[in-house]
Amino acid sequence: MNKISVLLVAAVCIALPFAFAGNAYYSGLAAYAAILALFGLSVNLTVGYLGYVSFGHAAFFGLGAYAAGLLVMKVGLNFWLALVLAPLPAAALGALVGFASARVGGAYFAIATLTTAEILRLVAANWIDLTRGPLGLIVPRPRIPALEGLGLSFHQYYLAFCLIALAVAVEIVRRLINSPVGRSWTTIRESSALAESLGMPALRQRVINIALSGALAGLAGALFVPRTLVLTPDLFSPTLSATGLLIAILGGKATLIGPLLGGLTFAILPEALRFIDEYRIAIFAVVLLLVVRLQPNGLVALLPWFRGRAKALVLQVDADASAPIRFSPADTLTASNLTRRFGGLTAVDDVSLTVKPGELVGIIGPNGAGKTTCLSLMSGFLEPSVGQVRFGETEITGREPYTAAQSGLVRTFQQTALTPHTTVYENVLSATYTSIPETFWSSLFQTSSYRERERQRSSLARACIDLVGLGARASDEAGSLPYGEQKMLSIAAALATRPRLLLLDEPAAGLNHTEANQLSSLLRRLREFGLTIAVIDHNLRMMMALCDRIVVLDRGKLLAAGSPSEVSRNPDVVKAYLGPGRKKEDARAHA
Amino acid sequence: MTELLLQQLLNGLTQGMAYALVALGLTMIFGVLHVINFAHGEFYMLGGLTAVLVTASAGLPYVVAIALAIVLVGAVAWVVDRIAVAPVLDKRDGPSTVLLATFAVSLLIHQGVLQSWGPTPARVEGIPGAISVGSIVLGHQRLLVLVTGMALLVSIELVLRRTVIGKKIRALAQSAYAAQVVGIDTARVRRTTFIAAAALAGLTGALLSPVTLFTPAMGQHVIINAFVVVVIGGMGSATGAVVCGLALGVLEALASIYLPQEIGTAIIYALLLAALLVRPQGLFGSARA
Amino acid sequence: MRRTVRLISLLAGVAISSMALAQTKEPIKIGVIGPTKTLVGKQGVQGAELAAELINKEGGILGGRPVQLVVYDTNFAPAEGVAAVQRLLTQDEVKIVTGEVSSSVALAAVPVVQAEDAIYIATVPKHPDVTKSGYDKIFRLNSTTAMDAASFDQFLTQTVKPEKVAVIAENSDFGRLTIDNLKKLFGSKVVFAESYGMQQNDFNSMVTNARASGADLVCVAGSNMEQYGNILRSLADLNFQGKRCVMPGILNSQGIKVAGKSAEGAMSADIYLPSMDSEANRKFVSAFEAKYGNGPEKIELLGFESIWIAAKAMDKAGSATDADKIAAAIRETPWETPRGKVTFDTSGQAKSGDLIRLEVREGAMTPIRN
Repeated sequence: MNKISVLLVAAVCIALPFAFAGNAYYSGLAAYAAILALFGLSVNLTVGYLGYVSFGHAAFFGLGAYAAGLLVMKVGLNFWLALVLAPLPAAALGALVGFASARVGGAYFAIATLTTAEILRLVAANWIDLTRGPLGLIVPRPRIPALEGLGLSFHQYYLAFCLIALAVAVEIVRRLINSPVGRSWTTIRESSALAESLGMPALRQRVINIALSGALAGLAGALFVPRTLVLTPDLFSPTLSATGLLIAILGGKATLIGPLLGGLTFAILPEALRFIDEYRIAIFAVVLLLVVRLQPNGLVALLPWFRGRAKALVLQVDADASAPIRFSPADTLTASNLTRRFGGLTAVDDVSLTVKPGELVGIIGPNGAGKTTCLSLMSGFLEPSVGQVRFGETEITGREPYTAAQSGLVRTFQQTALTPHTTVYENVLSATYTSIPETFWSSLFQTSSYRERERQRSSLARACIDLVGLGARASDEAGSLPYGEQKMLSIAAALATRPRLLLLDEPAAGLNHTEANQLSSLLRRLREFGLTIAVIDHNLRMMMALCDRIVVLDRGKLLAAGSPSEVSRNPDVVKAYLGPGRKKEDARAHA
Repeated sequence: MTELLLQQLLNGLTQGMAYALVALGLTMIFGVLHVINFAHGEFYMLGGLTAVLVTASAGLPYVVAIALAIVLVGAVAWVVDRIAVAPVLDKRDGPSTVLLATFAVSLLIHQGVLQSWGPTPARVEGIPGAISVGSIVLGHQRLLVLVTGMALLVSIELVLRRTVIGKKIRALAQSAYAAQVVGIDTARVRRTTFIAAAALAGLTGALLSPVTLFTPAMGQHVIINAFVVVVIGGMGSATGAVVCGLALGVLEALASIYLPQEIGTAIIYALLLAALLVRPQGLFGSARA
Repeated sequence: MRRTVRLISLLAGVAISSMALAQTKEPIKIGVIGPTKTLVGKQGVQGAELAAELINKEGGILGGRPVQLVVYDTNFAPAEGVAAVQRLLTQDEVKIVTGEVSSSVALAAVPVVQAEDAIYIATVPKHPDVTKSGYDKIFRLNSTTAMDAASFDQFLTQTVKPEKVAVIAENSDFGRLTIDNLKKLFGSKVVFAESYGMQQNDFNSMVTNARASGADLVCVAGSNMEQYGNILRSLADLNFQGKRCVMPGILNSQGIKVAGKSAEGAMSADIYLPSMDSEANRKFVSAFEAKYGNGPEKIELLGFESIWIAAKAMDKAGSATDADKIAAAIRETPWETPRGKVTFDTSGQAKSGDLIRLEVREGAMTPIRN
């Protein structure tokens, strides 16, 4: 965040409490809006950025509130100190729920949050000794005599603290979503397989996201304590969870400003309508309905500068000239005795092959030969039933797929798996996750060395885009590219991980003649830069011209291996491709 | 002891049938429209209100109330679909926006009833009398809930398996894209599903209001349990909703013999959560989730 | 429609009374909070509105100024209660806030009222802590669970004399306190004690277990009439043969109506009955019936009392803004209300006559003497 915005936020945090001087109602309302915005921000983290819908974020909110309340009432801690500790149990619960659900899928997250909130509600309602049950835990107003000595009223500094907490939370989220960590969330949301292939640990990043979301919701809950003063089990109610979800959706999913607008609406509108108390909920409902009908992308789309900003973010890219790209030499990839069965079907049957450093190997075979399965086995995406894969000294078999990418063995997919609603540049930038890595904390604190690395990531991304010839397309939405260019983009993303060995799954499928030629020349150039490549493809003409060595698979078995000319003369290969009794000439003609 | 167990089994089955029927509609809408209908509980409440108005206020027989509940709630659902579901669904990010829209509708329906009827609870005279064997008692109304519920579940299953519209619904639940390709009018099937599911909720409300009493808040109370049943059963799985609904009712009733009721419920939820770790797609969901 | 008519008649009433004074004077605002979207909340507001109307008909207070109510919903949520009270005190500039049903909300409201040096007259909340804040401008009209018990316990132990007692209570402060009290009173004779959530609507399993415990007295402690009505029905449906007692202060005619025949013979007690024989009560009941078309009960009475006492205390103190003087007036005056003479002790707790024991006979709450 630049200095001007820091000053601006600080000014608001100080000025707003004074603007409402002495008016407990307005400052209380503003504090409530800040709390709801913070809650919405937390929900948006999972719903918007991770794509995990939560039906029970009140579990984290309520836990934060109860943690703060219990620390004050049972441990005798100062509230403002408790405020700092209160997000921790919520973060831990987030990590736990996240770990359980991210392992098994997003639908489970919805269930897990909903049921967890319901369990916590029942516990809070029945553990009378601890929580006083439905009557509620009464927490006195946490006054700070030192501040009141300065002439501040409770409402003024309470509002100031709420605004500061919100500002800090927004800044945390802003930094993260613009860092490798946050970019990995978006990639994981679109396709966790793609993310893993680019070396992003999907499970760990999901857990981090959900734990952070839990912590923010817990903070919001703790801040809510001085507003409500009585903590009841309703803090875990589905109504509150729904409010968080609706704030995120109403404001605009996966935007930073959205939850702020949503929170403001949910806090202010029902209160502003109190003068018509009898009809206020109905009018609130009608307003919601109108917003949904007229502005389905959320309130954020109403801001005139919102779209402009999204563009501007992309254009600041080409400040750096693209640096030349180098690839470290590969190790030998050894697959020995690979067998993979699916039920009764043996897709790959006792295949052994090696890819030596500097080689460009082609893997061909008729449909159903087991090529893609073989590639998935070699890249660690599938567990072989028998056999093992080694990349140099590194064992690939039996480990998480992303570790293969982190050791320099990177695959692409047949389908162009991309993040379609972000730009070409952002797609490739997020793929620098492994090549120039960051931790959660370094992404959060963003020291000068982080900023230097971020510049390196930017120029690496730029270089990869230029290398595949998409330089002019850098700021276009990835989903808007024609098919051929999307294929090139997925190669650019793979290159941004600085692979040592690249496994390409049918890169030429669906390309026209010109595009296929461009691809060939790209692959040749990559080899000149020192990259080892293994390609699967149907386009025999291209493969014969391109590859140093060809491996032929048929019905899961290794049929032949050798130079293109050796392979094309091999009678077994000819038979496999053309059926028995055909002549060699036919094979050449097809090739 | 046996009598106590049997009595609790019967209690649990009627309660479970209520969960199952409300959850079934909710899960049908989710399966076909990929939308969570926040207003579903209010449809249930409207069914109960119809029963009150028809029997207590207009003095007509209870059977009329059941029929009218289906028709009236279906009509309300048609309007809701027109203004808040169908036009929103096709927009980008439609399903999550529909969440907002149906939430607004649920507030509107609830407030509308509070303004016109008021917050007063009311009794609905269903079918009086009871069957008793020893100390085991089953009220006629509860028997009606069980029998009608079973009949409904069977006929819904038949409709889904045997009829053209049922096949279209299942096709749409499988893949909206594929259904469109083979020429199914997806908008119409969605509308039909939405209205049918809502009418089912209305019918359930009319069936259960003699057991539970009518209150304007009854919809908000029932939706939470139904929602838990839907997610645990596997979102979009009809069998899952029915089996889980019945199971939850029976388990709660049986657990209540040994445990304080709310603690029993908490433990059941925790166990289900653990079970779902083993079967993440929901106990009856298809593996595609 | 009914509402419009009521509004018009109210406006007309105000208009006529002001015309009688031949000049319009600035109204005095009094705040009313409560879950106005629920039945109990609405009943309280009806009582309060009637009080304001009667006072204005009599020519208002403080030299002819009419009383005007500002009513805000709290929806059983403490946070909403805080917002409503803050708005009343700082935006609408009322000096007295009245009302509420939920003890949790009332407890949340107390510090807010204290911060603004205002007065709060709680109507229904029963939890003892409401009047234990140490702030001297908090009053409560309803009796507490302990006060009820003091009178009712004797009746249970000496007249009802159960062998085994089952308690079915809502999971709230009221329900929890009731279970504790009964356990203290009956010791091991309490063979079954369970609480239910505020959202439960089918009580057959709980009642089945209560019946299986072999109790000959079932005590029901729940403030929601649809819930205790339903419990009475389940008891009847499952052929429970013992005695049934609805704990003091919660039975009302709506609850009896939803329970139907199954309420017959249920015992209870309360601080007020519409059939009480006094001039003030007859006037209150007939005015209420004329205005709303149905009779008042305790909740309506408490709403009525809160505004009646608030307005008269301001009149007596000679100020609508001096909270100290008004609070002193409330505390020092013995108030004549429809339930008889009401006085406040130093904690702000109201006291009136003894509990009236009653039984449901032919669908009506009938006072019984013993």
